[in-house]
Amino acid sequence: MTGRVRTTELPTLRCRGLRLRFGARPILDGLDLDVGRGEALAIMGPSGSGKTSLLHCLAGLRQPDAGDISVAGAELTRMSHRQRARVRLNSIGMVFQFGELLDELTVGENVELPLRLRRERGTAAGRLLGSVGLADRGGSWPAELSGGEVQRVAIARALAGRPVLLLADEPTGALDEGLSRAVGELLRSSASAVGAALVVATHDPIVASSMDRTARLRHGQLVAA
Amino acid sequence: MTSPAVRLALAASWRGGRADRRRAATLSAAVAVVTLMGCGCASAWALAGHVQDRAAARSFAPAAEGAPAAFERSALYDETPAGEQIYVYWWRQAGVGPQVPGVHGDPAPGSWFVSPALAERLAVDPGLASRYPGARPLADEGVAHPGELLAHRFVGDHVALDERLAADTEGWIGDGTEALELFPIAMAALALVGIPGLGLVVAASSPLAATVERRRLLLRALGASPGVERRVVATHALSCALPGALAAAVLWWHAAPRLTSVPFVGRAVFAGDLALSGPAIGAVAAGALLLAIAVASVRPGPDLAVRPAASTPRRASAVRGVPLLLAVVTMAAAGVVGGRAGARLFVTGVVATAAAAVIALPYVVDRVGAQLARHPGAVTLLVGRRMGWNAARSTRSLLAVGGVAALSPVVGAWVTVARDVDQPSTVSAPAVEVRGVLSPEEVADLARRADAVTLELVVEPPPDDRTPPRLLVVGDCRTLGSHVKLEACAAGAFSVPAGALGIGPGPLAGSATRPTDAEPHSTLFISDDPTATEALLRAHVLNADRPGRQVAVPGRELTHESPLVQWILGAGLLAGVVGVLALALHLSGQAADLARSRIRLVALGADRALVRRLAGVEAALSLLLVGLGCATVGTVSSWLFVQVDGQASLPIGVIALVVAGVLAGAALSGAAAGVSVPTALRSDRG
Repeated sequence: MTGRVRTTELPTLRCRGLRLRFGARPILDGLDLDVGRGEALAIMGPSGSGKTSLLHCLAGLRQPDAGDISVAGAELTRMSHRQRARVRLNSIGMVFQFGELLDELTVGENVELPLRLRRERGTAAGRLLGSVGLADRGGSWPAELSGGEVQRVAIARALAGRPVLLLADEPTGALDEGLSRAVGELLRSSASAVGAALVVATHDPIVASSMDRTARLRHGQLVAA
Repeated sequence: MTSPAVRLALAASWRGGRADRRRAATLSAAVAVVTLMGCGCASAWALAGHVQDRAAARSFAPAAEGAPAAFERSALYDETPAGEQIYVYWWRQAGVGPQVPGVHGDPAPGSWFVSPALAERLAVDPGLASRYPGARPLADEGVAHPGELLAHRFVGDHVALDERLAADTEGWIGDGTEALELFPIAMAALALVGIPGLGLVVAASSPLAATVERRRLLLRALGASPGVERRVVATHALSCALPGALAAAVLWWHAAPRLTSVPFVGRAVFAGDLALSGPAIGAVAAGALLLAIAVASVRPGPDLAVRPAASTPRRASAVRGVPLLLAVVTMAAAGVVGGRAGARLFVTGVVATAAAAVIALPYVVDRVGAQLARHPGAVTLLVGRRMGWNAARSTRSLLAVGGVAALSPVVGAWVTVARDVDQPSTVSAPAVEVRGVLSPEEVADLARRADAVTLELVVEPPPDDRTPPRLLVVGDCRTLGSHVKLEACAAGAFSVPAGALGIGPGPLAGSATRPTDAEPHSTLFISDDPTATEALLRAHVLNADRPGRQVAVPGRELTHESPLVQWILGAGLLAGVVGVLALALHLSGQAADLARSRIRLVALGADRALVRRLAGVEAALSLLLVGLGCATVGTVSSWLFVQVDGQASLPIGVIALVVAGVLAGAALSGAAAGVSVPTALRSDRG
């Protein structure tokens, strides 16, 4: 597995028969999922339903007990840890509930980090921060940002690597209603702009309403909302 | 508010999660080590008192002019084949009075009494034993410590002795040995035990700092006053440290009276000499607990491991270099002041420099971190930013390592002085002076014995009828030439008549052999061949019961190695061990610090190799900066020491050893950090 994953005629994200258990408790139970290029999917469900675990599996951070996951043709479930890290670096962008910026880096350095990890010399930070409305905050420290600004920086960072798949785990969990709507729309428009498939795990109907379609995670399987 | 909060602190220290218990146990173990170190220092002080008392018991005051003497005595010298110096005293009881300590009964003229340590050497070395025929052991009260090499000989009336002594003792100084000086010993203990001990507690407290900071934030959010916050933190540290302090105190209470050698120093002691009273041990343990509380109460500033408490970096200011500058100026000023005051000033400067170096280093680390962050690579960016985030915090647990690196070169320079007086660099064999008028028969006898050991012998004819002949024995004529600074040797034989050599006080070179104070009738032996010298000593001095023949060494007290050397080297070894322990704790804490960033990096696509590289580079670079920075400061200190003390030399070997140690430590730390940092997410089973 080398380099950037090329998009194919297949759906950008394809899952078949995913199974995952925590002890005796099934979290994912034969889950199937397809998300096409530029498509936005919201996955809803109550806390503990397995949304985060599903996203971790889709990002290659966790290996399911059974099933296949394909990201733009790359079979994540058949890859080594290093190969999955390479796919994550080159093809997947992630946004977490609290942004999870690195406190020791400036805002601009946080955004550039995926490019530096790819050993690319980029000056994309200014443009990306501009696209999320924070063009003048590149030299700030994460602690100097508000919660909404942190999430916008996290989105800019997720887009820096020009991903084909954008995963967002409760991206508005810590935001108020107004900011939630803004962040949801920003995610949707940003993913569309780069043609990335977007999967958002959320329990926020405002965010879900910004997506193309919504599915509910119930008893380890996705059902249309 | 207070009681529940304090109960919360007590509960959280040992009844929290596994990580909390591990942190508490680490601090407890560090406090145990520090308590043992403190008890060791107190015991060493008690031991010094016992040794001093026993040495004082055999240091008799000179008898007043015209008053009857209890003893007559000559203080002589001998050494083992290994070069260990032996105190040899020739005694004659001149009247009724006390006996020499450790000598029981009424010793007959010609009888020998030797210390237990010397008796052990005699038992395995027949050659040495032949110099002390029929030696009987001295009782314990007659020796200062079990390792002392001491011999007493009782002689008859026909032997002339030097000193007339009264029955009363006059103490340690009267024996020609310097009294223990509190100041240098206290400073040495502070530098070699105090700084590493503090460093160990700091390193052990660092992993606890994040927990403590989180608790502070929680208490503040709940409305607790700063006083309550402080009490909770102190209670937490106390509850973590108390088991270690108690265990160490109990251990020392039981073990110290049974010890027969000083740990790390290796010096033999009598059982009981290291025992401490209960209150003394309690005071040391209390001091260690207070130290732990004080360290835990210091807020080290922003911590990347504390959430939710994100803050901006705390930059290290250049002002941190001011104490270092002052300390160096203090050392330089010592050279101007001179004398004892200058020496004290210098020692103070050395200790202050070691401490100030650790204070100044965060600024260097901060600057280096800023430079690294400019590099486009992800690892250098992350390492640089992490180093500069709170450099004071990230380097404080390297205090012990830095202290050892800063002090070692100075200690090395000091040891060169202490060693050099014992091993004169210009003369390889001891010079001995045989007092007394030599008769022509005795000269012939010496010449015959010297021939037997194939030595060259030169007899200087007396300049007048009143002066006896002089005798010079050397290994070969080239050696003679080097000592008298004349071209005395041609084709392996003497080319200059002995009488023309002008042998006397003037021409002889080498401070240890220059007989400037020799009496007119003195005869000087010099030999480059230790075996020959040994044979001469045995044949002519110790075994030959010739009246008036005694061996003395010019400036004898100078040739005796400073008793502090053994202690300083032992303390240095202990400091090194503590430094390694502190380094291990530092690495462990650093790996934990990296854990949170590691999860985010992996989510961004960093692989395990990158995380390991990040951990390794950060660990190695921190140690390199602190170790080499402090070694540089130590080298400057030792250079200043050489300027102040002309006899000292720059300890190149020690400096090279420190640098090599730092480099090796950095390499090992980098490798260990790379391996030990957890790279897999808990949820990652792939």
